[in-house]
Amino acid sequence: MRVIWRQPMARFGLLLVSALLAAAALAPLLAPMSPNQCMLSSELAAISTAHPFGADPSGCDILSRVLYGARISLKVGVLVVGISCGFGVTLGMLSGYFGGALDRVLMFILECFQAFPGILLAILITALFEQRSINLVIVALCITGWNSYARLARGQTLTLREQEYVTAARALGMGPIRILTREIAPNLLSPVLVQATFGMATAILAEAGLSFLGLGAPPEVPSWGAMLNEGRHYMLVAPHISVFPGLAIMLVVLGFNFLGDGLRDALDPKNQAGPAQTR
Amino acid sequence: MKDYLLGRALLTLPLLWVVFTAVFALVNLIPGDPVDFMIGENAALESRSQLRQQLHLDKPILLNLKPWSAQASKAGLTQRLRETLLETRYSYFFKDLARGDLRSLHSREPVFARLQGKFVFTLLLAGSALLVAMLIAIPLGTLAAWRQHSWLDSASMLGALVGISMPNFWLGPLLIMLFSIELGWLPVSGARGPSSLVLPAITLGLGMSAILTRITRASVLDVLGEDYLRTARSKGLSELKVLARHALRCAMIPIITILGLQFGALLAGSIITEEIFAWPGLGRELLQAIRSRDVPILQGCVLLISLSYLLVNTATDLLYTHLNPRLQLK
Repeated sequence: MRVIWRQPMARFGLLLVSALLAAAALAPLLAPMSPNQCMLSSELAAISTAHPFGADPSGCDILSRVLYGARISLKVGVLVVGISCGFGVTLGMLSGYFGGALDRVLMFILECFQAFPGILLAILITALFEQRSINLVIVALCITGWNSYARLARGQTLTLREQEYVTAARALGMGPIRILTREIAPNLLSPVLVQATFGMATAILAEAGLSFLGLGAPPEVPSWGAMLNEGRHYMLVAPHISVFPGLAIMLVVLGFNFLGDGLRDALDPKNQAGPAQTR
Repeated sequence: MKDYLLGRALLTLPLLWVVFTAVFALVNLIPGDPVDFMIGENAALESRSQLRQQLHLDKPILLNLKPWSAQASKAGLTQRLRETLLETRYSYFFKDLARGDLRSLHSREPVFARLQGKFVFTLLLAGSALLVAMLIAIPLGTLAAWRQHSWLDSASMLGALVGISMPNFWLGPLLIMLFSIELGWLPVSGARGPSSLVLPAITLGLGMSAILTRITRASVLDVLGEDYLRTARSKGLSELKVLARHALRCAMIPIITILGLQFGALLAGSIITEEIFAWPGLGRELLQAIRSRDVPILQGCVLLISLSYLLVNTATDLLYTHLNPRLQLK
């Protein structure tokens, strides 16, 4: 933690991420209004003391929606990264450690996923269903997201497996499960943590992208991407609708990218991983 | 080495099959009745059965077991096997594709004739975005590496990280508001002449230039300490020539790889950018097909995007192996 704090960019990243956490946790206290309590009288209201960020076409307060939107982004990020990382790392470790037919099957599946651009796959999965929901977005992003963790864990396990301390553990009579959890998993932690931090940025960006296309959050959910989609139709009369949700997305994504860069430099200097582009 | 290249090229074949099968599966994965999905539940019965026939939904998906039932005529074994495998949705899908008989549900146009023109627009957009990215990233990355730890380096790295974090669905509208609405220099959307291409290409290219700047910096840094650069300098070459002719040239291998991989991503990534600027490419067509539930058009778009993605990635892989003589592959 101290190593991260010493880097100014990572420190900035940590601050931005803390701001997201604070906004998500304290939204009911900070927001001047409920995100769905809208007054048509303040339709498209400009920036004022009553509406510090203005109001949207249905008269909802944009500041409140941006604050509550932090919850959506955080939920998507945590669930997508948690599920796809847990699944991918477990599968990658097993496949890297045992090799053989399991490994060959996994490698082919990974290749198959690489044949499709991730965002296209996510668009198709959400488009198959008529109902719009955040949970559907989370499922779609997990399906497209797990393979990068599996690839990472598999590669790392392949090298770790040959290390002397693993041989020693095997000679001591440790079973494969114990070796994987006690010897290999702790050494996987740093690269996976770095990847997961970038993964948060990717997942939040992807959710916003899908919602922007109208394939993500339903209208009553204050998703930043969906707010941008709405703002697109009012660029001439009310540009402020688009500004604040976009700024929120960018700052949060920037925060996770800064933090990921800092974590990588601190934990795993040889690693060249960088933030991925998802568009 | 040759074995690796051959293996990599051969691996593309099963992947192609996976792509085709996935595109086929699109219709069959729709929850509930695909016909309901496409024409709504209130459509007349006749058009429903027509649609059913047209999409071969009256046939079983993978295996047709009818010829083996007791009531079936006693045809020969080979005849039965043929029917089992060929009278299915899966084989009709390939037949239709081979005959180019995939047609739009609404306009009845053949899908690939319609998508050809769209594909050109997507390629044009992706190509221009690539150009924008290279024009920004290669000089900037080289300069950042040349003056490592200077303010120029920090500023361009900071800029790159901001660029990566900037969602194109925010950048696009901001650019429209500034350059089209406020200043009135460029058209808001559509594809009327070259000026329409400027904003979409910047929107799509800026994010990529950010990634490319980081890669360029890293790979130029890798070669800057090399002896041959000292030799070049001691020959009395100007710093610019040393950088451009000697350093950058050797640093190009990883840059080209990223360019190739990102070009594939650009093809897919243009979906959002095309939507923002109403650019008449494949991505916009794909979204419109989703909205109008025109499954054959959707299948065509997915097929074209995935195939070009797969081919560009494989070609990049092969090129990388070919360009890098130091690479040792089993």
